[in-house]
Amino acid sequence: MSARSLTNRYVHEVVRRVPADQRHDLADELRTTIADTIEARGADDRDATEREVLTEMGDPTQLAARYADRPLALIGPELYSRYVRLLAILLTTVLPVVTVAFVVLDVLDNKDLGAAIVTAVTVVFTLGPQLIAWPTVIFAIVERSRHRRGVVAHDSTWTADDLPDDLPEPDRHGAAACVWALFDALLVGLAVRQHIAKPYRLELADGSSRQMQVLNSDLWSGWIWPVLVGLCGARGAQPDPVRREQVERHPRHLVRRGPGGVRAAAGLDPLPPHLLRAGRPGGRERTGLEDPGRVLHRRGVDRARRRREAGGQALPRGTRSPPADR
Amino acid sequence: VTPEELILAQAQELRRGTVVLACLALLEQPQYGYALLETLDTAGVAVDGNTLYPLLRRLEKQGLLRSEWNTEESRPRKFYRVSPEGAQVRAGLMREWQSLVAAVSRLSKENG
Repeated sequence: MSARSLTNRYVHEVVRRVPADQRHDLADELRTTIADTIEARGADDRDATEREVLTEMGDPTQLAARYADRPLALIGPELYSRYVRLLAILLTTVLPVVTVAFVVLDVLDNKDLGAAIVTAVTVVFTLGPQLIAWPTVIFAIVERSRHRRGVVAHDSTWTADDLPDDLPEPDRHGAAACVWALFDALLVGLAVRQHIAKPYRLELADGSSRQMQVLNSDLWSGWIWPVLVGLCGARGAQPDPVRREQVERHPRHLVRRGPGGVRAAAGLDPLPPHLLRAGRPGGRERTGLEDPGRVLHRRGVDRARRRREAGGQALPRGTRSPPADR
Repeated sequence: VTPEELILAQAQELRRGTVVLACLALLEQPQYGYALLETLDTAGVAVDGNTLYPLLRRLEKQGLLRSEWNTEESRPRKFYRVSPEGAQVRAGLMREWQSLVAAVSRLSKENG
């Protein structure tokens, strides 16, 4: 058999993709197996049969992957959902925040609008690919090492405690959230504009006039920009007070309409206990903003109670879930 | 998608695990790759070479099979046979198989 025969070329294509210590043995075995197969076909035209047998063996890269017991996917189904979630978080939080930060720095440097736009586009197109590439590389490495260790079973078991604390928010409140965001943006924009354009004209005693800011210009210290950015960030991170009030005061209304509520009402999913709690004595006024600390505290209390329920302990009256037909 | 195609696809899923069991059952006697493929084929366990040959090496790596080169004949061949661990696994898989067959036939009888 010549060194350039089809079989030798095929075997070479396979074994060069498997670990070096297996190559020699695998090459010998593959060659005899292929020769056995050709012989068993009772070949009149040996070359044609060889071609046929190798075609049936298929793509050498795939065969090599089977021999090397390597996954044929960069990120397998076990890790895929976590990977997508991480990418989504990075691209919807880190990327906008960094982009805005760079634009703000440009504005602080008194650059014009064009320069700021160029900066924003540059940040998006340099940071964006990095935010996609690095998690991909890391997940691919993790996938490879998991496969090597033979981890095929789930390594972390999911429990009901992993459920998010909130129901998905109904879409029809999206408009309200947009209006609030626009209102906030308008306020911040006005504050910046009165500083830059100085719209107020002050007539002085000597007949001359001077352009003034509306707010005390001493307030406009060097720290004002970080403060403004911080306010925007805090507003963005805060749960919408209107929505939260409705969830607590009108649970049944949401159970019927909310996407999670439809399944719950149909008896498919359990309802989160905080949705089923009866209205508080006296009710609370809509105070607009709610202290985030209290929100977090209440979430912690909810979670602790659910854990107690899971432990099967008796609960104080009034906190037990009502019958499923609600 | 026709019912025939669906049956074919589902049957492939069903067969996937049984090839291991068939190999462990057959390799009580030492056998080389191509001969094993032929034996399985005539026994009615259809499997492709590019599936079976890597499978043999994987089972060897897992310690369920042992291999040896036989150079007595004109063409040296690698012979595989079941190791003691392989025999143990085969017994366990066989129990699993029997209980599956029993369960499925019981279910199909109950439901008409």
